[in-house]
Amino acid sequence: MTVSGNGGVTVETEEELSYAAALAGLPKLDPGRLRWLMGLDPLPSKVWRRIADGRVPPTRALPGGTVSSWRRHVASTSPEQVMERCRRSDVRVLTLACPDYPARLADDPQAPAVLFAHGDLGILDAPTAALVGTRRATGYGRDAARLLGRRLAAEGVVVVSGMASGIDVAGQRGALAAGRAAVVGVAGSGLDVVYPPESRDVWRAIGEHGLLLSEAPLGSPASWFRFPERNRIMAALADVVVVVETPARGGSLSTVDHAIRRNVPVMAVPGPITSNASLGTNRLLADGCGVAYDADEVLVQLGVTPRSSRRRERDRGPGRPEPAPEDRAVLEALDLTPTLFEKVLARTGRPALELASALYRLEAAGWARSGPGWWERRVR
Amino acid sequence: MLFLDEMGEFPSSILDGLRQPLEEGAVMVCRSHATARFPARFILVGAMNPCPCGGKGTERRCHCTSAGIARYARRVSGPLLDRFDLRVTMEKPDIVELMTGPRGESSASVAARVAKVRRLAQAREIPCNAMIPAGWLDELAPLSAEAVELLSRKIESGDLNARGLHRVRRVARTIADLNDCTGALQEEHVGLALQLRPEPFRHEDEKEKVA
Repeated sequence: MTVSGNGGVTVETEEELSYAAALAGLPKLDPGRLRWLMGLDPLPSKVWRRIADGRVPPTRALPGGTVSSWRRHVASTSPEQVMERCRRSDVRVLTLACPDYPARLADDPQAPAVLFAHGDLGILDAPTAALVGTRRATGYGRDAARLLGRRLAAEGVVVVSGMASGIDVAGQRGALAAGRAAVVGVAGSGLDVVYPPESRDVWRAIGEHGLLLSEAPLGSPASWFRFPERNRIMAALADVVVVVETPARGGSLSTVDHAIRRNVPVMAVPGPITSNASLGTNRLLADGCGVAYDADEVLVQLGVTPRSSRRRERDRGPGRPEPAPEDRAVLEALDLTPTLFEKVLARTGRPALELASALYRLEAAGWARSGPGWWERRVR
Repeated sequence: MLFLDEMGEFPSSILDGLRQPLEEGAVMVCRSHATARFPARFILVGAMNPCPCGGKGTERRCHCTSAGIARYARRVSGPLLDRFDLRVTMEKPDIVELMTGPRGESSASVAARVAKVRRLAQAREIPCNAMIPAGWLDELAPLSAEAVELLSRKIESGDLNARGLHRVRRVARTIADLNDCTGALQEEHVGLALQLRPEPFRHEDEKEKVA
């Protein structure tokens, strides 16, 4: 690839990309600062030189201490080694000058100046839906996320999410189970730092069949300040943002803010009015967000025509065997949220032996789910 | 009987020290010239919150992170948790119910039931069902086909391990005895035994991994 200097349009060489990757690793950095820094010169190597030579213009927003820490970092870091580490992990470095930089992000006013990617960037050509929500999801929320993820992926929609515990990872597991469309995971940590540990299986699966993206350089731990930034990338990549479950305050609401600012439609899944975990999503609905009570509603929003209903029935997977008549009453006594065994005992008035059997039968048939001492009804 | 309240607050060295007496019914003290064996068969009762904030599974929501719950759970080692026969999750009692609700059974009637089951165990030539040696389980606590199926399902889903399996069988034996069923253990006995001994600290996300 050649470097051209006309009109400020440059095509990056491997060498320039290594400088870009190294710049992304500067201390005391946020996306805005990195954008500003990279804007000082079309060539990342020249920006690197500037820092080394102390020619970074002081601004009110940039304390002297920060600039000195940058000089120290530049003096002790080898861009070549940074790039080598990326190559070993099969991670591509992208800047806005790269032709492969995702088009959806390139137009964004807060586009990441440096992006780390692992997997197939071509995936982003399909319609995309971000499935987001709380880390402290209920069984209902997880089921809803998984269901939506699977149906959307079965129709060829690419599911984008953050791989966080709870809703994110449930939606991605659903999408991966459909096996038809690819999945995009946007990480808050470096692509070699699996976070949270419970999502390891999803990271691996997306790494093999989908696309992993991060603004953070390799080796970056999942720091709390990276997550709101990660959310803006998800909103920018999405054709629609679907919030599955969130209480009144939650990180996924920042994704909603980013979506609104970019005119990306937002939909929310209704939840039980007794559930605190759905208070945020129900409020979004009250504020006028689209209602994602069915995957079809999301598909309509995306302009995707669902395939024939017969094929959809097949995608839903084998139905659950109907519960035995004597077990129906026990199922009715369960809620969508956990209820302690003793309480179910009191509600049904059945003897404990009979109740335990009935519950395990319902669990085996997929109608109920259990945890330490509690039971709840499964949506799917 | 030894009752440890807030089990997680005890130093792990103390809790570890319980393993030998729990497993062997004795404490060995070894010195260079002599070894002494102190009989130490006892019933251990422990109490703990399901998570550090105490709100998990109740109407008041739990505020703990999964890492926080894992840290809290680790205070009591896995092997020690495994040695409990019963691990019952209880609800915070309602004050009004406590004051006005119906009285429970009298200790005398409960004691009579306990005595009856202990007599049944002694007829099997063991002091009590909890002490049925693993090798005798097939003979003294045989399982019906449905009971085996239920246990296999639970083992496959990771809800039950080998040590847990033996304990569940012993508890199921006692449940069956309490219900005047001295033959093979049925699915309902095993079901209730399982209900009384679930895995206490398990993160929901762990249960649903992609293959």
